[in-house]
Parts: sequence; structure tokens; C-alpha cells
Amino acid sequence: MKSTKPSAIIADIVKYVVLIAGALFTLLPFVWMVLSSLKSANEIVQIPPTMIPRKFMFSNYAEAWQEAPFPRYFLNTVFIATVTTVGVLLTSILSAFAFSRLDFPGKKIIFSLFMATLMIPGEMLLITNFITITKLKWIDTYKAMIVPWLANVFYTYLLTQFFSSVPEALYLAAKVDKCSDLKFLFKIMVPMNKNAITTVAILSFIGSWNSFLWPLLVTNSTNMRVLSHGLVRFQSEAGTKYQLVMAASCILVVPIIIVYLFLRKYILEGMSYTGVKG
Amino acid sequence: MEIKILNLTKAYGDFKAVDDMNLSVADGELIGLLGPSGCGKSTTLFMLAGLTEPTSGQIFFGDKDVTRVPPEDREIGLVFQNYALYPHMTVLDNITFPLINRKVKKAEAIERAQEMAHLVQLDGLLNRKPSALSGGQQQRVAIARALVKKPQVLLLDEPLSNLDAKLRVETREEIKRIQQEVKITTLFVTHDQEEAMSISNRIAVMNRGVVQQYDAPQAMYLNPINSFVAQFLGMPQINMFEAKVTGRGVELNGVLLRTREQLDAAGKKVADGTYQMGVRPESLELCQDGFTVKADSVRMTGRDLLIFFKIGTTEFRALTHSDLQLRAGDDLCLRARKNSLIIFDADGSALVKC
Repeated sequence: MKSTKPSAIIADIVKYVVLIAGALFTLLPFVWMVLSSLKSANEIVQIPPTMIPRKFMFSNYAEAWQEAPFPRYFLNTVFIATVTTVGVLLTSILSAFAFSRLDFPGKKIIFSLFMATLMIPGEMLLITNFITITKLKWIDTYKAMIVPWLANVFYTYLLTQFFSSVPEALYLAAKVDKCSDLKFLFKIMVPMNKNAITTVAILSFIGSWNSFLWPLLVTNSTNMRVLSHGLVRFQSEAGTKYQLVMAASCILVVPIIIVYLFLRKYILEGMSYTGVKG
Repeated sequence: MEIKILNLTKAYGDFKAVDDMNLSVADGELIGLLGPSGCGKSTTLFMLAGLTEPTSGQIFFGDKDVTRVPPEDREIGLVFQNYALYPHMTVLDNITFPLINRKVKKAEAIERAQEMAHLVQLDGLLNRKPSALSGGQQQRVAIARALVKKPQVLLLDEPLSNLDAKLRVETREEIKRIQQEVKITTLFVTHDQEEAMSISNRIAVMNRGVVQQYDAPQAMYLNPINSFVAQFLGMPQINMFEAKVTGRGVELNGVLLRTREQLDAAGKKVADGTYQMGVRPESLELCQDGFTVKADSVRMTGRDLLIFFKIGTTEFRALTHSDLQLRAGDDLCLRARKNSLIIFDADGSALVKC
């Protein structure tokens, strides 16, 4: 667009300055992490701090990688995050469909109970969940890290809202077209809400990827630990090796960025046409 | 396919959306369900489709009682007011969807979809998404999707209400053409009386869940069974007023609309008293020997000139040809054309036309 009025040009300049400042502001910690990961042990604790490393210590990455069994952690994390995400998508989609489209006795009460659980802080559930897992003898297994996260009230709620906004006429039309509920769900409802579902998938994957406390509680052996535990390895009585923490963090964040780039199209696509006019 | 509706009722608590409805439709007929919003016309359509379960009564398609048959087994095609196209699918996928669900082979489904697309003149648009089509084109996709499974009955819920005025006229002709080409028994719901009259073989006018009159458009327009139907059909609306029947005839504020002889000639003895009456604007014609009124205002509508005037305090509208030179304040002499004055009795049903 071409603006001709001086006031419009000034408005544009202000807009972009604010946007650029905002972008830099959010990027800064990330840039700092990358730069810090390349500093030497001395430089990273130096006061005043330097912005650009005097010498690029790429060896930090190799050192960090060898400090903990990262390949194993990586596999564990990918496995847990993937299974959890697929599972939580399945349960959320099915329950959201039930809440938004089906009529069954006690629907409102069950939904209210669902919502009520959102009011309970996660930390309070930690102990009870831990006891349950112990009694089930699931300690130090993948099950312990996956099963408790297979249902998520917030995602169910989110998808219920999205599904409810799909016009009833589409559901009725599908019925006349001899389409079963399940088929309607996966052929029409899910593709129509793929943006919302992708968002849930990303949130779930990132949440699982970043989880620290729960996996630490329910695992004992090094073989079952996840990536976030690897970061703790750099802390010792002698202090924290920040440059290695930063290097490991950089490695950790790469898969998430890849996932995001891969799914970005769906997130940015915005709400699509709803199929109904007027 | 013949359709028979017997004592059909749909109640929501105490409210009866459709009240003891009886209607029969002959094979290949195009029927308009007409009425104001909330009159039960869409409820009726959805009961025919099987999407709404009737409280009581029966629906027959041919000899088969389909009252409890689920929608997918009723052999109906349904077009929704908002078309309800699947937005993430192409036009072709939308049209083949009902066939694929019925286990028709893909190649055959595509062939039949192409035939349908040709019938509704959508050739060349099959690979588009619904969002890339105009309202009229989306409408035609919806009709193609409804017809592709070769249903016995086509049901349309307010098919034209989302289109602009010009497209509406084109599309209703299009619906008529398609209906005649496929020779399918069709019911459509509308609140637009002109739409209903222009394409229907018969119209069922509904109000408060009850069918008021079920007749061919012209018969209904000329002989409305009650004041509701008289007022619902016709644009501009029929003039409704209260007038007296006396020994002299039909009188309104000293204006004698009909003599007693004229009234009695209509064949029914009307007792003296005050009655609700109606006369259509186009039935008031200019003449030399009628009653004289003063035009309050004059509206040019193109084909016609609409004249507003009063008799006493009652407002009237008269339609005359647009070449009449008349301005507000001018006097004009009018009469109600023969056989155009409808007298209603106390409960609103038409008593006599004279």
C-alpha cells in the first residue's frame, strides 16, 4: 500500500519502530542464550558481561553433549512427547465432540466437573498422582510419564468451543448424506478445525518437551530421564557451568523450532471460511 | 413420489410448533410452504427430512410410513438455508460425499457428480473450494449435492433468502427448471409470498403451526380463505378496514362501496352489522361514477403508481398505471372492481366476495 499523506507516513514509521522494538525485546533472551553458549568459562562470569564472545567456543557443544547421555534423553523425550501428544489429541477431540454435538444424560454436570478441575493447581495433584503411580508400581516406566497426561481439560474445553462454533447445519447435512458421527468427526469436524487442533498439538508437545518435575519424580534410573534433566547435570558444588547449560539449551530448543516451522502454516492460516453464508 | 402428512404435530412443551397438520403432495409437484417466521414451516420440513422427530402423526412417502425412518434412509435431498457445504472440500468432493458414504465406486461417483454439475451449470468449477464461489454458485452446489444420490423427494429450506434480489429471481427460475428436468417431488420453505407464488404448483400458507390454506397460487390469491391469507399474499398489502353492512349495502364513512343488490347477488345473505373487509390495491380502479377521494401522497414504483388516500380515518392504497398524471392533493374518482371486496366474519374467515 502506498500512503501519500505525511501523517500516514509518520504513523507507519511509529508502527514499525514499535514492532521492531517488540521483536528485538522478545528475541534478546534467545540471542543471549546462543551467544553465551559460545563463551568460555571465564568470559561468561565476567563483570561487566560481554555481548559478543571474544573467542567462539564451539567446543562447548561437544562438551555439553558428552556431559550427560543426551542421545538417550533425546529419545525418551521425543517418545514421551509424541505419544502424549497423539493421545491427548485423541481424547480431547473425542470428548470435545461429545460435549459439543451429542446429547447424553448428565452432559452439563460432567462438563461443569471437568471445568472445576481447572481450578485445582497442578502442584496439588503431584502428590496424589505420585501415590497412584507408586501403587500401580509404575515408577521408572514410560507409562508413568505418559498416562497421567493423556487427558487434558483445557484442551478439551478449547476444542469444545471450536467444535461448537461449527454450524449445526453441517452436522445435519452430513446426517442426511449418510455420514456416521465418527465419520463426521474425522472427515469434517477435524479438517475444519485443523488450526485449533494443530495449536493444541504444539502446546501439548512443547509442554511435554519442557516438563521437568514430574519425570524427575517418577523416574530413578538414568535411562528413563529426559532432556530437561540433562541441564541439571551442569550444576555441581563447584558452581554451574553456565556456558554448557546454554549450549545444551540451544541443542534442546532445536527440535521445538523444527516442529514449529513445520506446523507454522496451520497456525498462521487463521480461521478459515466456515462453510455457511450469512 | 407422493407425500402424505397425517395429523402431524410437533410440540415443544406447551408450544405447538406444528399443530395437527394434514397435507398431501402429488408426484412431481413443487410445493411452497409459506408463512411468517415461527409459523412452523421449517419444523415441518425438518420432520419430512427426519431431522426433527414428530410428537405425533405420520408421514408417508408413497405407501411407506417413514415417520420413524432415519434421514439417511428416506431418499431425500435436503438443501439448507445457509447451504451447509463442507468448506475444506472441493465442489467435486462435496457433491460426491453422499455417494461415497453410500459405497458408490469412486469412478461412478465422479461421473454422476459431473452429470449433476452439468445440470446445475457448474461445469468447470468442480475443483474450487466453496469459499471461491459466489452465493448463487454455492446454492447450486448444495442442490447438486442434494440431487446426486437420486432422491425421491427434494426439500429446500429458504433456498433463496441468502441471495441478492436479482439473483433471487434468476435462481428461483433455475430451481423450477431443475425440478422439472429431474421431475422430483419438491417442497420448499419460504417467507416470501412472491417467491412462493411464482414457482409453486401449490402453496400451503401456515400460521402458528396450522395450515391456513392449501391451494394453487392464483386460486389462493383471488379467494383467500381468511384474513390472514388475504393479508399475507400480495404486495402492496390488501387494504383491510371495518365497514358496515346496512339495508343500503356496504358503507364506509358515508361511502357506499356496494349496494344491497350487489351484495345479495354474491349469493350469500349477509346480516346487518360491522364487518372486517378487504380490497386489494389493484382492485381499486379509476372511473366516472364512483366515490371521490383526495390523494394524500403518490409513489412511483416503475410499473405502477401507488396512491395513498383516506376514507374517513381509514387509510387505503390504490395501484394504478404509471402513466396517470396525479399529484398529492388532487381529487380522484375510484370504485372497487366487481367481485373484489372480501367480507370476513368475526373469526376472520372469508364470508363472501362481491
